[in-house]
Amino acid sequence: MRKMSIVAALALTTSLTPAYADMTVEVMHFWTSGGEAAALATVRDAVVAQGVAWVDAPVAGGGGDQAKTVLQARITAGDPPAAMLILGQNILDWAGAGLLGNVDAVAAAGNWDAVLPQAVQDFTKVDGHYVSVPTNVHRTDMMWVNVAAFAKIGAEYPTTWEEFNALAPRFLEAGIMPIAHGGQSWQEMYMFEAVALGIGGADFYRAALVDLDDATLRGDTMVATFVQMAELRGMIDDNAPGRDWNLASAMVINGEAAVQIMGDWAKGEFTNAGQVAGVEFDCVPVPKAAGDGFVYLVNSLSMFAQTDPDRIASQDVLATAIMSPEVQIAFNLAKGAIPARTDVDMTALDACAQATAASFAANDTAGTAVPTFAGTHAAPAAIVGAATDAVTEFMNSDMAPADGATLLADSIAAAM
Amino acid sequence: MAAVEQDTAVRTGAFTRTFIYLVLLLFALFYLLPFFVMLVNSVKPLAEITGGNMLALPDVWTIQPWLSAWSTAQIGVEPTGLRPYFINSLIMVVPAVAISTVLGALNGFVLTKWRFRGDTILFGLILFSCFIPFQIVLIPMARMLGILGLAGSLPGLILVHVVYGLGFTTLYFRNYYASFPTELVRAAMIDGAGFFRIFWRIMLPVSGPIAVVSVIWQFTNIWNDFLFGASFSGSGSTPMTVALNNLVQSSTGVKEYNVHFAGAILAALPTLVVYIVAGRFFVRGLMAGSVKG
Repeated sequence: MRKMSIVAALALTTSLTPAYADMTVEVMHFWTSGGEAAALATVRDAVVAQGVAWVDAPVAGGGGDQAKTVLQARITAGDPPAAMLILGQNILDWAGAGLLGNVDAVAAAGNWDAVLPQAVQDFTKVDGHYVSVPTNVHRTDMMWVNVAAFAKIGAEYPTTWEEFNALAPRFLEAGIMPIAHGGQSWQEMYMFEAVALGIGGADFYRAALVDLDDATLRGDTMVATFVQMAELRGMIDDNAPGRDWNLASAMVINGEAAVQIMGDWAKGEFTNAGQVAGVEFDCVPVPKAAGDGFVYLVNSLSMFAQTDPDRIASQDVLATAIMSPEVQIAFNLAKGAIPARTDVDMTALDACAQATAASFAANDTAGTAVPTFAGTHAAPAAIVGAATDAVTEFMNSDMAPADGATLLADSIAAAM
Repeated sequence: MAAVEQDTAVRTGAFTRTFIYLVLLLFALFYLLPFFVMLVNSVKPLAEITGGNMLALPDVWTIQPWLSAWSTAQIGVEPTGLRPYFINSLIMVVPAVAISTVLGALNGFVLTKWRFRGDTILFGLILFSCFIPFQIVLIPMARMLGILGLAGSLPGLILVHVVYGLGFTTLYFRNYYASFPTELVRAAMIDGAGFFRIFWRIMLPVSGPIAVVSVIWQFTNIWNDFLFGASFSGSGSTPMTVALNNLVQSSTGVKEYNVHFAGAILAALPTLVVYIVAGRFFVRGLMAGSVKG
């Protein structure tokens, strides 16, 4: 009798999962906090629904730096994961080393060339092959605003840096810090790239931080960027050094500070504190003195080359799942970012994300969407590291703006 | 002389005593401060922490962060808490400590009582392993585990920790046994005792203090290891340290500091217990090995 029921149970499970029985897909990632994990769980659910088992290999830390060490060990042991969350230029590195496979068949069937904006393709398609599958796009030049703080001094949100600078003394007078700042080098780098785009515009940003043109790095616009950074230096409280960005967000939530400059992932902190966009807080782009612009960061799962046909098939299942419009929306509802494909119905997203998605599409078409430098999209990690040291040194001293630009140019030149 | 003063090298008056105790108390409080911060913040709601008061006692006491860290916090995609990883670590650390300690004792026994040509050179070579940084063996070790088919498994991790710990345990036991009278071993041989009988009946019974040293050292190192744990574990064999890292580190997510504090204390508890239970033997054992070596 018992044997019978086991047989029946087996028959049931196999009949439920005819195509992909016994297949697994191992995904290495650093999404381990609430919203991130919940987002990835939507992908997991879609994969599991196809009968492919999900093997979770989370290694948190340093935006994937720790995972990189682990990955090297795994590759040496001859056991690379099916897919891994890798950022920006690192994808190009792994692809260049011949370690990535591709999901071209799925991409062709899904017409990815048409549904993915060029900005996303730049970091998922290498030498004509889709080596990576994008889950979402983050906007890094975002400003988080305490609505009550602006009401208190009766000011509109600034759209240029001049306006912003004019507001600072009024906030200080009202007993509010103008900027909630986390004094960690990576945060300062995200702030720097947002300021650079705001001061100099997309063409300047590309010349300086993507092409790393020495003359541009030493030029007047770069000095002007550092002049603005020096202004921001004066709007920060004494306790900023070493502060986590989450705690800086808390300052805006509590009304201690007026704004925080941080990527769109900060939204989770605000909603987690029970605040509503448009009521207690607002998300607006970082002021732009030179027209429009958008700094983006693409998250994607890169596919490692496999020999086992089952594993290759499971990668295709994973890729299809990630790119399905339902998952793209569900994923980004949890993650707080915007879908990587621009053809999905965005109405399910909140006001913040909808505005970001619209801005991304517009900037991508206009050619003013630029890849994040701090997030190692615009340049390799070594150069970003050197530049970050320079910017942090500037932010934590009373260095003159012209010297800051020189230091940055020298640091980048030395790292190239 | 009174029995109380037996261990006191220098005689001191009541005033000096009080002063010494006061200073010691102050230092103890100072060093306990981080633990106090961890403990106090692990029983606070998150809003109180982000509200800015890290050092104050909670307004609202809550055990929720502990429950969350243990069984529902997000470590990966599944909200499992630290529990399964705690168990993984236990399954890893117990055999790894036991095997490396027993092998270390055997090595020490051979190197002191069954000496052979070149034994000091061999001992010197074994000692080298104490000075090799973890990072250097990472890639060769990964290759070996791949060949052995142990990559990403608990047995693989145990093997790595045994191999890496052998240098230390051998050093401890070798120095400890060096001061043990060889005559006793010879006498036992004359009585017809073999290698293992001598080891079992004569060496092991006197090895208590140094075994405690070896166990504490190995337990602390293996339990706290992150690099090997992260590099060589798979999805079913991830140890506590890696899970704690996943709990605490997040790039773009909300940080639940109270849960992080609770998780960190949970991760530190086993080593703390080992120290409290076996700690008083620790210094004694170290000293016993250090007088003659």
